[in-house]
Amino acid sequence: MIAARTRLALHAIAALIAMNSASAAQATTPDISDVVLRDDQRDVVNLQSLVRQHRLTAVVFYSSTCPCFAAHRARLVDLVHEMEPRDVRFLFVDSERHSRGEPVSKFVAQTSLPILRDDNGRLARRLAAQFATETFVFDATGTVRYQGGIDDDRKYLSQSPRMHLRDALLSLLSGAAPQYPGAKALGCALRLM
Amino acid sequence: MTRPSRRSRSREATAAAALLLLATLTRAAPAAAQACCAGGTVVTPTRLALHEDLAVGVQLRARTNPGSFAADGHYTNSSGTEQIFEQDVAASVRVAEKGQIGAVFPIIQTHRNVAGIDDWGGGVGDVSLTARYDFLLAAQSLYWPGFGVLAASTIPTGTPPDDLSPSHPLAANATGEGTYDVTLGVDVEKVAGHFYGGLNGWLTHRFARRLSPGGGPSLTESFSVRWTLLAVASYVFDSEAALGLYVSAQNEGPATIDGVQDPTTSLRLTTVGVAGVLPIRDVWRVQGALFGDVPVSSFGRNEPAGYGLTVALLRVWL
Repeated sequence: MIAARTRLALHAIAALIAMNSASAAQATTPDISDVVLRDDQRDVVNLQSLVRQHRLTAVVFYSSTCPCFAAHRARLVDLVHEMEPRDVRFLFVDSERHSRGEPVSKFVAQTSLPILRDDNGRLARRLAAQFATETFVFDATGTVRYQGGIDDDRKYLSQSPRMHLRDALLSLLSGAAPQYPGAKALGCALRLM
Repeated sequence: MTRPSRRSRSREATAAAALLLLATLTRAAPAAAQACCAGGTVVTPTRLALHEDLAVGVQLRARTNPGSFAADGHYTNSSGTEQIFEQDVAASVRVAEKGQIGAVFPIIQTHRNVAGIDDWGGGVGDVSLTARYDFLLAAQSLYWPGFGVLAASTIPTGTPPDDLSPSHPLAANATGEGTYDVTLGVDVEKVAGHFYGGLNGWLTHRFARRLSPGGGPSLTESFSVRWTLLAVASYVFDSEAALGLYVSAQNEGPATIDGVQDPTTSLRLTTVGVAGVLPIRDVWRVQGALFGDVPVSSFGRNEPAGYGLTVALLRVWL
């Protein structure tokens, strides 16, 4: 009886966690026609036009103060180098309120990754992005095919992580749907207010 | 030495929860001016931080009470000694994106020595159930503080202090309140760079109960609402290890015995402490605290006063 109750309790806990961990995994096509981002030269780029130019576009939300993002910097650089030859464009987007007065070039120097400014957090709000490292993968039609984290590490990087974003990109490039289209993003909360 | 009242047992439980929670609080503010984890809760030892879905922990707690406060608030050193050693098993699980529930299962051992009488006792304490919902996380806004609501309830699974036994002349076998209670509270917290600050306040209502002290006629005892405040400030290092200071104060009005209010039964206690946390990778953390009740008259009432420490080890699942 006790063993049965224990199993029942564990199943209940697992169900609660699963319910809570489930992200928006369904493919959606958000309206990004009016979303513009600014680069280091303060040139304005339209997100929708960028998305249409590439087979896949990965929008990664960035935070200059998030240790979780900083811990993933090298993995992201490797992923960019691996995927860009396959026509996957990476956009690192800074939507946070506290960084709006700072030059983007400062972030570029820190990360060696190009950062685009999302004024007023419009894109983050449109996509309902909540965390740094949270990534949205668009196909060329503007449909979100993956929304989630880079991997299953938070700040401490394990030796054999589940590379959720990489796996999703490889699946999409092969014409398949990602196995985990809504993997959990383990970054800091984005400060949009 | 003041014989432990059922209220002091409540205070013990509340303080234990607050202390372990406090270490969780100090973890709340992450490094590099950004918060990975939200603030804390006064009633949930294993508070889940951001992204954590499940936590299980064990806490060891030891305290000694060299003095006590009289009914008028006067503090005096005791001629006897009292030591309390407690082991808690606690767990929390996330049930919503910003909601979590938890439970604490205490095992308590007590040693008292007064006037040559030596009494050892212990057993299972009162089980506590907790819940928390964060409307806004401490790190979610640049300017607005985080805000959460807290709830808790105590189940009287322990031995009440009036359950007298000839083998325990100093009631060292007391491990619980002897009644249910419910708690509601709020938590306001803010992260600013490496600094974290939080303020919690909560109200506890204990349900009336019947007791038969010494096997005599039964009495009905009801209680005033207890309020508690907990303030914490901490510094979070780049490693996410943290060190914090806290102060807590609680006060409860007089109890009512068979419909007659007894003005000598009010409770008050003020406690200060330092707490720290050391994260190990992303899934373990060691927490600890040193604390002491303020041994100054009027800072307490009808409570034993002492000092102690806690050490806890938590495993979390992301």
